[in-house]
Amino acid sequence: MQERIGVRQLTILVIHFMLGTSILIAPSNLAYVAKQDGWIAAILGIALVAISVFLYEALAKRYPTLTFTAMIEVIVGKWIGKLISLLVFSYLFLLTAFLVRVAGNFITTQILPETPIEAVIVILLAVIVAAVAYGIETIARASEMLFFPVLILLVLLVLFLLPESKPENLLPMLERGPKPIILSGFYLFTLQEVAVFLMLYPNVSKPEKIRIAMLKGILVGGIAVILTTTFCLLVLGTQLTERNIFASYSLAKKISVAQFLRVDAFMAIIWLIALFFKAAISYYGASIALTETLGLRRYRVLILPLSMLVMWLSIVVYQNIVEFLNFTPAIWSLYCTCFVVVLPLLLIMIDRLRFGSKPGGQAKQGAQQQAQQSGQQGGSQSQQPENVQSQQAGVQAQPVQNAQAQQTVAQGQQQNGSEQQSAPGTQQKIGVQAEIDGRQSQTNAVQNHVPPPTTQPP
Amino acid sequence: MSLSIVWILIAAAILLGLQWGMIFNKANANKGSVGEKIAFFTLLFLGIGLNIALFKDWLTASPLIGIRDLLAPAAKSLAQWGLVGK
Repeated sequence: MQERIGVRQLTILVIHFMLGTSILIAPSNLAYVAKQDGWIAAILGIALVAISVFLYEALAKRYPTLTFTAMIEVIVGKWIGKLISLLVFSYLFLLTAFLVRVAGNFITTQILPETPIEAVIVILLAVIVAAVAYGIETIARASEMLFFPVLILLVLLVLFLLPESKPENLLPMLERGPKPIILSGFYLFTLQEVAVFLMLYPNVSKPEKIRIAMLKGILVGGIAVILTTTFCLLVLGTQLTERNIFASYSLAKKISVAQFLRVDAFMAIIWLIALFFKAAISYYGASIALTETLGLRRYRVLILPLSMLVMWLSIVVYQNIVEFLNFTPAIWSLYCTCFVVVLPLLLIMIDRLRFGSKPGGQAKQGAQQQAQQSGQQGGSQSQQPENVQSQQAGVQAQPVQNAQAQQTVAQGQQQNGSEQQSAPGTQQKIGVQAEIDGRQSQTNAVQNHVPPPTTQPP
Repeated sequence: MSLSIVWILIAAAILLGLQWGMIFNKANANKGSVGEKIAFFTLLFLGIGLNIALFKDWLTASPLIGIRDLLAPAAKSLAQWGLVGK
């Protein structure tokens, strides 16, 4: 049974994802390159992130039921596709390790200085692994629950900082020309990494609303990042912001409410919640990418052993904070660009060149349908992997038709109240799913002019 | 045997137990294919080996060395372009 997330849940996940690394690290990076114009660079970076959504939309529109790695295999072929998928896995895996390490560094330097980083990393990983093992639906629901506390804490933080701000810290504007702002904006863009959501696109219940959901999330998350950067510059000034890796945490330390209430914990809570979601989504994406590359049935099989590797990588990934600072903005941005800009662009171009106006899988439709019919007669449908089922559907049928089928399924789920409820009864769920499976099979069958298969239990 | 290795082995045993209890020990068809088991044990042994090598200081090189060597010249040029200004 494929997991489903709603459009609102996707928006909230994007907001958390945007806050994940940026809110704590971005102000320092932005101020280091763009100095007092860091806030302009933040706006530019967020605009670039918003533009990149259209690129992903262009790719995902042709294969709405496929994940990023599955698209690669369809577009460039099986073996080259598997090689590139492995690189995508390495990117997502490295991103997860980076996030865990940054969180470990933050906790051991700012909150628990006596605690070994390994202990912090193990605890963080345990939570992330548990979340991914429960599935993307659970992660999405948790993000919904934790969204408003994060939002309220963020608003409180901004309100408390207003009296401390000094507008003269932002002057003079554009002192060093536009180049530092462009470079800094580019660095921020690559820190956002919303391309990871290409791994989640097939899970969204209404594919036609993905773009608007992503843009909403980027807008809200982007405003938070821009506000944090601006207030860092306004309150701390350029030099303090660029010298402090966790500038926004230092910013929160400046606040004193009634001489006794410390607000710096607000920032730590906001960031750790957001980072948890970013790491969980990256880890989920990495597990799915490896599962599809290896041709396995279930991503859950790989979650636990991969955690041992994340543990190793997060410790070994860099020796000290100086190495991290040298690597993150400059080299990471280029490495990241390969996967968030270059690869999607290349895929779109190759797809157009190879398949023209028709998506790649459609050329093989007839042969795949025959294979599917013979497979169903052999009763082999129940052996299909949970995530691969959707990919095969995407390869067999036209993406637009599948989008309609998915919409029908989503409507069915909403009518039955199974999408938003946290834990419906098992019997009811099985019944609803069987009905949905039957309806989807019928929809696909009608659209592809093949007889509907017998309804299979989930 | 040093304490770090003992902890790594305990962690691996816990992961194995969890995996066995949740996935591989199922009575129905969901108990896992041979491919899944091979992938699981390969990754687990790789994880144990790399963690032991790390904690015993046998292998402490970061895998980022390759990426850094590959992209450093371009990153440097980009930084020079942007940081100079005007």
